[in-house]
Amino acid sequence: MAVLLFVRRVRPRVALVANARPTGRGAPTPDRVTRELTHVFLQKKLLQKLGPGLMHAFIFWGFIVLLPTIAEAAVAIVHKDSSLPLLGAASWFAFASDVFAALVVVGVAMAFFIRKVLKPDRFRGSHMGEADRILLLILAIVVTFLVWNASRIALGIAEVPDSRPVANLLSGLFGSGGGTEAAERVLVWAHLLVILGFLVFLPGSKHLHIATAPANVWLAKDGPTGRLEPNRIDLEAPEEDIRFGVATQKDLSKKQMLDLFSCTECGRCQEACPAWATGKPLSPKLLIMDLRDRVVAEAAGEVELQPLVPNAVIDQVVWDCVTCGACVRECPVDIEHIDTIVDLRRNLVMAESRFPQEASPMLRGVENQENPWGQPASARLDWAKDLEVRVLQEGDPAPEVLFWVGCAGAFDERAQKTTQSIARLLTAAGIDSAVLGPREKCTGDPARRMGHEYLFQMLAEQNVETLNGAGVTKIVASCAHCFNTLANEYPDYGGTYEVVHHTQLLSELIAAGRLQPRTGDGKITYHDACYLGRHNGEFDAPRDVIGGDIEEMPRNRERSFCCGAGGARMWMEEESPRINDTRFEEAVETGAETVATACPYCLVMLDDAAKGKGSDLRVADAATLLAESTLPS
Amino acid sequence: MNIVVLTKWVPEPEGTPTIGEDGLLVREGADGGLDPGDEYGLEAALQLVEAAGDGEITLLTMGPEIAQAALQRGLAMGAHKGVRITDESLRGADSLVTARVLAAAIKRQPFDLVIGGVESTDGYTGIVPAAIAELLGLPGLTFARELHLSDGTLTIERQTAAGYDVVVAPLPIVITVTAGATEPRYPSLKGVMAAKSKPVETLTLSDLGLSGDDVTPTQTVAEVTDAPPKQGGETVEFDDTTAARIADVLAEAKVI
Ligand code: SF4
Ligand code: SF4
Repeated sequence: MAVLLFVRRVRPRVALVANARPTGRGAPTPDRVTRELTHVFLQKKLLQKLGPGLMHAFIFWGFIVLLPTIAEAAVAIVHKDSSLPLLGAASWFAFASDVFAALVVVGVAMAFFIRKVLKPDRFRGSHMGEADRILLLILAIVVTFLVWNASRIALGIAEVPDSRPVANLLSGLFGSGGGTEAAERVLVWAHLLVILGFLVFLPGSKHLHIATAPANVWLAKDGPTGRLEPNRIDLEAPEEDIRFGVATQKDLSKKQMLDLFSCTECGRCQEACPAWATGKPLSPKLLIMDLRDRVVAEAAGEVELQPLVPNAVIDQVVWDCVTCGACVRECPVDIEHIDTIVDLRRNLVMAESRFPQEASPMLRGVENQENPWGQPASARLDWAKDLEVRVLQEGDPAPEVLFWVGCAGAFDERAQKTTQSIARLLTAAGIDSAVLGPREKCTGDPARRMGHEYLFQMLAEQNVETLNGAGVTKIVASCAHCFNTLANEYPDYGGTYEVVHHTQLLSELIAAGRLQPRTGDGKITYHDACYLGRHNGEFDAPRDVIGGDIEEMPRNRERSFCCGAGGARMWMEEESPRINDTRFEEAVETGAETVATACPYCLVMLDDAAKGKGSDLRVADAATLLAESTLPS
Repeated sequence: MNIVVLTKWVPEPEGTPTIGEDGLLVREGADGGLDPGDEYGLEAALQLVEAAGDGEITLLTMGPEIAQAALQRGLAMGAHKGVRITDESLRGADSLVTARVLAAAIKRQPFDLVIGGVESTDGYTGIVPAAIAELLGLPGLTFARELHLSDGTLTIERQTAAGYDVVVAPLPIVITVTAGATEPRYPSLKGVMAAKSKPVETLTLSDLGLSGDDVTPTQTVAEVTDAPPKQGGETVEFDDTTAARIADVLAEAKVI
């Protein structure tokens, strides 16, 4: 009966995932196997928060160990004196299940302590009552298990009583008379009934994650999180065959759908999200929950099938995201919020042309002048006026390293300083490098993260043609966004190069003695760029380039806090309190005199914050600091 | 509500245009597209038709094959159809000739409103819409920065140096819309695709019943030279006389 109910309740969800758009993921890869081991079995991502992580690990490991005891109890229901073959008589198993059951009790107690006493803000918006019911059910399962075993010990039917320290202790509760025999029957039935009740309760609850999470972790993206899945657009194809991102739930991929049913409502993502932290309506957790509730309600026929924006989440939620990846990194079940957000944007931009209007000059600029600044291509070399820089002409031999300047580096006055520093450092180190000059076009990153996949696709194809045509094999990029796009996304468009970030190249040159920085003075803090750090795992190179002791901000490296520019937010207005101001405050509090950056977007955002506050904390790229300490000025 | 929107293909405003030996702009193979100044009027037209709930917007342009790109952009934004007039003898056409040709094309179908930009981003003459109004014998309302339609009467706020005038006229009329009057929409990719199947008519002079005499320019380009380099400005140091000096400069420039 319970099993039937379970099947009936879980089936619509299984169908939703099964009928969703294929992901092309799933084949075993070393990454998948490793993730399954570390993220699921070793609970690595949960243990990023030690207290709550241990709490969960106790319950999770407890249940893994206790799984066979369900069968044990089922056998005992039929025949009191029987037990499982092999395991039933194994003293080590009796011991393990006894201890782990006790650990589950500890875990549940910890969970209640966290939820009722500590009450972290990350739970805001989660289903608290449901969580309590689940915890109580879990508690009931293990308590009935322990007490049932205690009664068996009291009755002398337990095969290996000495191996069950906890149950043994509890066996003192029972006499050996008829009352205990009855109690033993009642307890085993109660134990199994609670388990069955749990089973029925599971599909509609966030606790479904015990079934979905391992699959979701398996289907997660391999490789850097900075890469977005392409949404190929062939304008020659019949319109009904073209997918413009995600409009309704019918457009969701299997992974995106499974994400919705995997969320545990733990709120770790919400706690890390810069949009939420600055009071915006976007919370990655609420986004996932709202999408899930809508999808389920539509599938059940309770509401009509409608576009997910604004029916499940409002427009602003979709536009608030800076694609910083903090949510994805924190999520213990590897939900990929960014991919879904960008897919929703794709539909709004490409099908509806509905987006914050202030971003439209950026799109027009990228479309018409091939850069977000709307500057003519001829101005791409303005920064190089007083420098000797080789400009790669058509037919020229390829340089050892192509210096990809990027649009910010070419057109923004502050970022131009970084570009000049890098060019001078490369010359000083004797690197054979060249720039594309007017032949370089926007990588398409801002258009892509804004949702204009087609514009990105065109630029990617054009740039790949130029790069391949020039025989380029190695690229150094100074913008973290260019770096990410060239390294992780251009291979999807036929452009595979060795791509390094300027801090990586410069740190190598320092290590090789080709650049010799003087030890600087003055306290420096470093702001990790999301697309260099969290999305691509490079934390040390920029620190090596800066050199000396760094006054770290509280949120640094993998847990760095975004500058507010990613996800094309650079071109959108933001209500106060702003993300860049918030981050800048954090830098000020370190007492440093300089905040170093490694990405022009971060530079501009933090410098804007400095100007807005009238602060004299200097914002400069690591390369500029290196140039100052290496080269004659 | 039928609206004709005057559109023009212009070379990339951020680029450096090439001038041919005949003193005329080389259009073939150049980067360019719909004049950004035309988008404000088109957006106004789209809003009027959307508010009216029915109606048709026709984009009208004069120019060679390349001008098709300007029409496609306007169609992608939501205009319903396009008309392009092209004829060898129109090369080097001046403003008056352009106005005659466009007026002849406008007359071919019933319309309520003709909308143009204030001036083109390449030629900057700013007289074609007014000339069209004259040729059609209709009122010409220029520099509209805001427009409001009710009961067949259009009320505009006409931008002036001092502020704005309110001007009212019954349809049909010809108007020009200032840059910034509306916020032109960014076409969706679906719009771009749909534009490909919207009708575009290509007409020659004889289709319009015009002859060579009608299109003989009264102006020709004698010479094209580079603009003189900008003169270094005047730097006013800040002291007690600064305010007076600034006022003088503004007065000299006849701004105040
Ligand atoms: S990517 Fe960053 S801004 Fe976007 S939802 Fe995740 S944490 Fe929030
Ligand atoms: S999305 Fe992930 S991190 Fe966020 S609440 Fe759900 S499970 Fe937790």
